[in-house]
Amino acid sequence: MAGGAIWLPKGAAQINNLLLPVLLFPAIWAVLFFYASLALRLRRAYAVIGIICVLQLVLIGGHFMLR
Amino acid sequence: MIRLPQRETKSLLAIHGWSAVCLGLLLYVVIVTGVACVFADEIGDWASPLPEAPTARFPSGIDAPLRTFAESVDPSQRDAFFAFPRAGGRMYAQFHHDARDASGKMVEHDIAVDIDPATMQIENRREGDDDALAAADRTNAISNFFINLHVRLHVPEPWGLLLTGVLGLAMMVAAVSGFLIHRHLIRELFTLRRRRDLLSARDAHVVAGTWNLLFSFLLAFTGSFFSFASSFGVPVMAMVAFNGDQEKALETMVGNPPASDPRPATLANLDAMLADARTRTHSEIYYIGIEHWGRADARVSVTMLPPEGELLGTTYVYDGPSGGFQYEKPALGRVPSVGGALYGLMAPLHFGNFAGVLSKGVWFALGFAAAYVALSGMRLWTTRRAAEPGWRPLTRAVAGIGHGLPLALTAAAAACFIAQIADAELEPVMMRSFLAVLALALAACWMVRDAERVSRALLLLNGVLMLALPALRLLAGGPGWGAMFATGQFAVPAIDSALIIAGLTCLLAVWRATAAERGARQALRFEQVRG
Amino acid sequence: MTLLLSLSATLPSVLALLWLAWRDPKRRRTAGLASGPAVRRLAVIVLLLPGAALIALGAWAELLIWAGLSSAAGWLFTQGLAVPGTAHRSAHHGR
Repeated sequence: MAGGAIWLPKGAAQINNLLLPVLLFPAIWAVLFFYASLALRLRRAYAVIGIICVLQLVLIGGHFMLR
Repeated sequence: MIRLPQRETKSLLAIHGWSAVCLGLLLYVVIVTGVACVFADEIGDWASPLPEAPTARFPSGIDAPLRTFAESVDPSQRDAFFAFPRAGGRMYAQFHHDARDASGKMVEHDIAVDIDPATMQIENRREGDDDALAAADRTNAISNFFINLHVRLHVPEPWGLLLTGVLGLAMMVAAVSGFLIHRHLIRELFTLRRRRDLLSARDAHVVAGTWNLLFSFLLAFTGSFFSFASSFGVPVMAMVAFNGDQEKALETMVGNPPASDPRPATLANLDAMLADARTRTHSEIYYIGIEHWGRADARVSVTMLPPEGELLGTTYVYDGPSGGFQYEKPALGRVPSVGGALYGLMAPLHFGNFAGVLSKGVWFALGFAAAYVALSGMRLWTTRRAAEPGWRPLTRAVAGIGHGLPLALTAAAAACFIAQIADAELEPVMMRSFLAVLALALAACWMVRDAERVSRALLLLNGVLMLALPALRLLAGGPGWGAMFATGQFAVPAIDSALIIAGLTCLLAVWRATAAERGARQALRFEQVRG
Repeated sequence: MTLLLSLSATLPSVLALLWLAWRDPKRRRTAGLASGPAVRRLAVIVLLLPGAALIALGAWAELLIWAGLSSAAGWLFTQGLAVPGTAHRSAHHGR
């Protein structure tokens, strides 16, 4: 979610990137939750969610390094 | 009909049940208090009306007392100011300012007053953090108590908000998984078998749940947004995009960043700005906010209620020193945006306050249904496991809280009036009565074998107490119906009547349940004699 | 205006719901009543039409009130028309 601040388009008011992740947080969480609990292959579910998390962390890390 | 493979259905059923078992009782507390909070404003008007109804939400002449209040506050503490009418139409005005305490920790320091809209007298000045202000607020005591319970279960920041946020997520999970596991959604929409067995318990839960599905989801989603936004979302976004500066993050989101100019400058007349805002749209003023009162960079935001038939109100921004109109903006952002619009929708969708009493009444009914779904679901779960001794504590807790919680809330309101009569501090008295009644209800369910009988006794007590509340209100010095009708303050007779009707309904339900049980017992005896 | 529009949208939907609940085949079967031909499609159209009209008008506040009132009414009708226990053995006993 936090990475959204960096990659989401800012939109006309320059706030979409900040607001949308906060607004959609419950939905993001719910999708991940149901995916994780219904996934047939647990290992793949771990991998998918793990990759999403790592991608976000890399984005945030890069954002701080490049400044 | 939704066809899911059996394995998925099974795990969804487990998710549905276990999320409810773990968090259901707390969620039930949040829902029930939320139902009461729909009418939080009206409850304030009912508990502490003024002799005269105010002429408008922001009556003209409000500039003078607000100015007197502002001048009594040290300029360094006038960062942010807001005002809006609360119980009985009293203007609630507050300065907010973040300071560092001796150990360098950020603490909020607020100064608030009430202004009588008829006499324009400043009353009840109080200072401290949010909790201190609420504790010293005698006119909004009942609604504050309910709101605090609903928003954070009286758990300190930020844990309370995080807790209710998780509860919102659990409610969302329950709604979605309930939808997915119910195979005959449409076919069984109208079927409710009334027998004293598992099947009718299941029907009751499923039917109420189906009819309430969309709104449960909506309330859960918006509710968990409100809980998480300030306690988690904004801090995280601030960390990523603003190096942890939350104030900067909020400023950017609101879209009102003032060019700093700390030179002193007198604020222009507020009455004139409010009058100008009223000419721009067909709706009343919701609240006003002022940044940097008394400085050259002061800015006044006048937020309007939504115009008739709409969900969102607009905000007009004025230059503080000159009082000149600057621009119109949405709630968040300087110009309309997807994020800003979605954010704007969160409040009307959660509070149901976009069309006055009409929409609030609908939200109240839907919330009530949601509470019924939560309670009947937990009943179903425990009834199914009645034979297993391990589940007995939960069975008893569900019975105790199911009817004990509404009773405890009514008791808290009654305690508020009694504390007023005794001139005692309100908040601690309400809290103690609430907890004591809840504990007694739980203890009764623990000790008495027939939990059903205890439930009925709790319902009976609640009915009696509801009928007593209008009398207690009068005893505490509240005005009678005649005066309230004469001054057009209909919240007082309306809530009194609602309490009387609700009280009688409780008594009727108890009477019918008792009669039904007696009938069942007689039938059983007849069978035995015949056999 | 909001009041008028939302109530006039809700009235046909509530009547349609009442008809649907009254003639509902599953409910009647469980109650041991004869289930004649139920003109369900027409009732469903009457039920949903006001909602579509409100969307077309862009009357979002009224739409929310309509949806809320209709679903509350649906629940109330189902509660009110609850069938008393019968000897009829239900094939799928809950879940």
